[in-house]
Amino acid sequence: MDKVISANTANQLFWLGRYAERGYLMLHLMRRAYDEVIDVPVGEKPYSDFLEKLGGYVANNMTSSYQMMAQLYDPNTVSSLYNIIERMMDNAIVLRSIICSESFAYIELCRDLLKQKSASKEMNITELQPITDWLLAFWGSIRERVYGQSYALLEVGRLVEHLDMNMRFEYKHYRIDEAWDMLKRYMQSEQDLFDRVQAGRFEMYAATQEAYDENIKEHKFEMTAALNGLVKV
Amino acid sequence: MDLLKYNYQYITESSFVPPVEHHFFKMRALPMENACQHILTAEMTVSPQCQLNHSKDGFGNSVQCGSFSEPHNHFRIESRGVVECSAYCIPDASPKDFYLYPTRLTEWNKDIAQLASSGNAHDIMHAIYGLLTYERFATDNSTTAIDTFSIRKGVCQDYAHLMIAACRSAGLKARYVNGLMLGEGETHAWVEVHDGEKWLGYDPTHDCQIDYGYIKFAHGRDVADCPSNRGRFYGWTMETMAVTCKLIKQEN
Amino acid sequence: MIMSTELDTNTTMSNGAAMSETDLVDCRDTVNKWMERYGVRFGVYKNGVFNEQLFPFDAIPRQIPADEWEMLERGLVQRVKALNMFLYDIYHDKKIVQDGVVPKEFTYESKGYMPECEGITPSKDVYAHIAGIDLVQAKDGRWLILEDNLRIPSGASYPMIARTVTRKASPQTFRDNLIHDNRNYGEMLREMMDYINDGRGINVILTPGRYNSAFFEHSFLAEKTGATLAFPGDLIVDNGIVYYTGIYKEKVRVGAIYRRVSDEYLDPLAFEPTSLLGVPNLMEAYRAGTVGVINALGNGVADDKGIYYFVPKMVKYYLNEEPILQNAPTYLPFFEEDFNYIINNIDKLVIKDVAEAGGYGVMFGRDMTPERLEEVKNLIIKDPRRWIAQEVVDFIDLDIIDETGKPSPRKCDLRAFVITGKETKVWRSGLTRFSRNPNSFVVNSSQGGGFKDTWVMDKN
Repeated sequence: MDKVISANTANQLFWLGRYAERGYLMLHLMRRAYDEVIDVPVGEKPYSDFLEKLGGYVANNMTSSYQMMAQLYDPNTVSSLYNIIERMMDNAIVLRSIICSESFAYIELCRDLLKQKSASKEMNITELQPITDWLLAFWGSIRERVYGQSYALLEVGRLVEHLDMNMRFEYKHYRIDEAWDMLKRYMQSEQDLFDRVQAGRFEMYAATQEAYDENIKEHKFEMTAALNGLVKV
Repeated sequence: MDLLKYNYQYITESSFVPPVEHHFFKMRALPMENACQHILTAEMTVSPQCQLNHSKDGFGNSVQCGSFSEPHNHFRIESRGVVECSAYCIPDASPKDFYLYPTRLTEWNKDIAQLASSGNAHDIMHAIYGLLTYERFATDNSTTAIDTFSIRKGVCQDYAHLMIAACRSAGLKARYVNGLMLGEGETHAWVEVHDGEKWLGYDPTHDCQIDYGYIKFAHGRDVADCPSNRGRFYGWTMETMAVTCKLIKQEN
Repeated sequence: MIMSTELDTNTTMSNGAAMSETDLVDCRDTVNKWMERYGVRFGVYKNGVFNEQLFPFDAIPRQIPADEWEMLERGLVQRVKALNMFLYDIYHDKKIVQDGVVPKEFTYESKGYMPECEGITPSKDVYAHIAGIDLVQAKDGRWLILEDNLRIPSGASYPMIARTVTRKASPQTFRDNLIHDNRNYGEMLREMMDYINDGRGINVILTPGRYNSAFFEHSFLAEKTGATLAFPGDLIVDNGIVYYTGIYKEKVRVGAIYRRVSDEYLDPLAFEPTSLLGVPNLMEAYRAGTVGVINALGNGVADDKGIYYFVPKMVKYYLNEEPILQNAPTYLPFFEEDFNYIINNIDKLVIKDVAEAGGYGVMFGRDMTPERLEEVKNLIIKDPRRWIAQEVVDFIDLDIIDETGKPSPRKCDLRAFVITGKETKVWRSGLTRFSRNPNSFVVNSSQGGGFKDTWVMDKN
C-alpha cells in the first residue's frame, strides 16, 4: 500500500523537486551565458539580461565577473546557486527516510563542492560540472527508490519549475507544451493536489502555439501566476 | 449523619478571533464519587458538539477528553448536576506514598518545616492562615510554596501548596484538591491530609476543617497533577476565556 | 569452495586484527569522505546558535572477543529483564519498595518517577524497549556498568553507518576477520516495533524536529526500519486513538510510536503545557492501550543515578539470580555507613549529581582544592539523596589516531543496545565513545569526543 504522507512532507517533496530542477537549469543556463561572454567585448554587461530573467536586482555598476560570483556563491543574492542548494538541503534533510540516504548523498555532495569552489572563488563555471552530474544522478536515484505519491510530488515540483524557468528564458511553445502535457498526466492521477481554476487559466495560453507568445510579458505573467497557484501543498 | 444535596455548575467559555482549528481539551470537571460524595445526576456538554472520552488518570481522577478539528471561534464546556454529600471524610487504608514527597511546587525549607512543628494538620492550617494575606495577581501558576512563604501573599492554590509542603515536612501525607465551594464563583483549591485511616479536608484559605459545602473534582500531589481544564489549539488567535462556577445547596 | 574460504579465514585470524587495523587506518580518508557523503552529523547548540558537526570517527575498532561478548550478552539481558520488571512493579504493586529492597525516597523523589503512569500497563508489558547500557572495561579486564539509559538512548546509527562505510573502504579487513554484522539494527528495531504494534496501525518515529541534536539518527532509523518519520503536528488523537494525518486530512491509525521526544514534552495536556513537540491527549490513548509508546513513559525512575545502586539487588529480587555484571563500586550518602566512608575518602572518589546527565555534574575528588572539597562535603551533608559517590575506576585506554596521525591513548566507554520485544536481545555491536583529550574521563559527544566502531567477534 502507498505510504501516506503528511501535508508538511508533501510540501517539502514538492519544493525539493522545484529546487533540484532550478539548480540544474540554472547551471545549464549559466554555462550558456558563460559561453556567450567569450564573444562580447570586455566592459559590457552580458549577464544583466540573464540575471533580470531570474527576477534578481541587477546593479549597473557590477562587473560581469562580480555578477557571476554573486549568482553562484552569494548568500545575500536570493536567486544564487548557493541559496538554491541550501533550500534543497533544508528539504532533503527532513526527507531522508523517503528519498533514501543514497539520493540524499547527492545533495550533500553538491553542497560540499559548492562550498569548496566558493572558498577558492572559482570563476570557471565548468568546474561546477559535477553538480550538474550529481543532480542528474539525484533524479536517477529518486526514480529507482521513490514511488507513489511521494514520487509524484517530486516530479510535479520538477515540472512546475521546469515550466517556470522555460518561460523566464523564452523557450518556444513546444517546450512548454511538452512539460505541461506531463504535468497534466499527474493531474489525472493526483486530482486533489491541483487547483482546477489555475489549471484552466494556464491551459488557455499553453493550449496552442497561437495563444502563447514567449515574448509577450503579460502572457507570461498570467501563466506564472497560474503556475504558482496550481499545486495545493 | 446528615445527607445534603447540592446543585453544581461549571462552565468554561472561550472566544477566538480569528477562529482556531484542531482544538484538544482535557477536563477534570466532574464531581468525584467517594465515601462522602455521591453523584445523583451529572451531565457534561460541549459546544460545538463533539465526542467526549471518559477515563481515569494516574491519581484515580475522572478525566474527560476530546477534540474538535473544524475551524471555530467559540468553545464552551458545561458540567452540571446534583451531588449528595455526607460530612467530608474519605477512608483510605493504603494511601499512596508519593503524597509524602516534595514536588517542584511543594518543596519546603526550614522555615516551612517550622510551621509544622506541632505535627498536627489543624495547627499547620491555622499557622498558614495567619501567615498569608489573600491577594490576587501577586502569584501565578508557577509560584512554589517557598515563594509563597517568602512573599506572604497568594490565592487558594498558594495557600494549599504551602500547607501541603508543611504537612509533608512533618511526615503527614497531604494532597491537593480541586473543586467547587459554596458561595464561590470560581473553582477552589484545598488540602486533604491523611490521619492514618482517612483523608480529612482542610481549607487553609478560610482556616477551617471541611465538613459540608465543598464538591471535589480531582486531587494530586499539586495543582499540576489535576488542573480542571487544559486545552490546546492551533492557529494565531486572541483568546478570551472565562470560567464560571456555581454551587447551591438544595433546600428540602 | 566454501571449505577453502573458511580455511583461508582461519589461517589469517591469528594476526588478522593487527593487519586490519593498519589497513583501516590507511584508508581513513576514504572512510571520512563516505561519512560526509551520508551526512553523518549531530547538532550542537553553542551560544543559542544551532550548528551541525561531523561526529569524529576513529578508524581503529574496539574488538570484543566472542567468549567475552557471550558473558556481556548474558549479563546485559539479565540486567534489562530486571529493570523491566522493576518498572512494572513500581507502577503497579511496588513490592520491591514494600519489601524494603529499594527505599521509598529513591522511588518517589526521583525526577523520573511519574505518578501519571500509575496503573498503566504498556503494550506487551514492555517498558524499556531500547536500553542503552553504558559500560567500561577496567584494566584487570572486568566489565563494569556505569549507567543505564532507559529513556531515549541514542547513538546506534553511528556504528551502523561506520560499518557500512568501512566495509566499502577496506573489504579485505572484513574478509579476514569474523565480525558480527551490525547492520541488522534497523531490522531488530522493526521486529520489536511490529511486535509492540500488533497490527494495530503503522509504525512511526516521532522526532522533535530538524533542529534536534540527534535528528540525523531519527531520519536514518526511519529509513532503516521503514517507519514513517513523524514531526510534531503530524499525529493527532481522536476518540482515544492516535492517527497520522495525511495530505488530504486522511487519518491513518498508528499502532506504535518510537518517540524521540522526552516524557515531559510528549503531551501538553498531561505534562509541560507549553510544549509544542507533543501530541495532545497522547496520554489518554496510551493509558487506554490503543497505541504502544517506545520507550514507555516514566522509565526515568529506573535509570536515575540514585536507583543505579539498587540494580544488582533488583536482579536478585526479581530473577533470583546472581548479577553477571557488576556496577562500578558506588556509595550512597543516604546510608550511614556509606556516608561516613564518603566523607572520609572524598578526595579519592568521584561525586555525581543524580539529577544531571550527559557528563555534567561529575566531580573528581582528586582534582578539587581542599576548600572545594569542604564545599562538596557540605552539599552532601545538606542533601544526601542528591549525590552518589563512586570509586574512580582505572579503565583501559584504547588507541586512536590523533590529529598528528599518530596513535594516542584515550579513555573509552561502550554503550550496548539491548532491545526488548518478544524477547530481550543484545545488538552485536555498540557505540564506543572516546574522550577528546588524553587525560579526560568524559566521553559524551556533547563534550567533544568521538566514536569508534565496535566489533563483536564471531566464534566460528
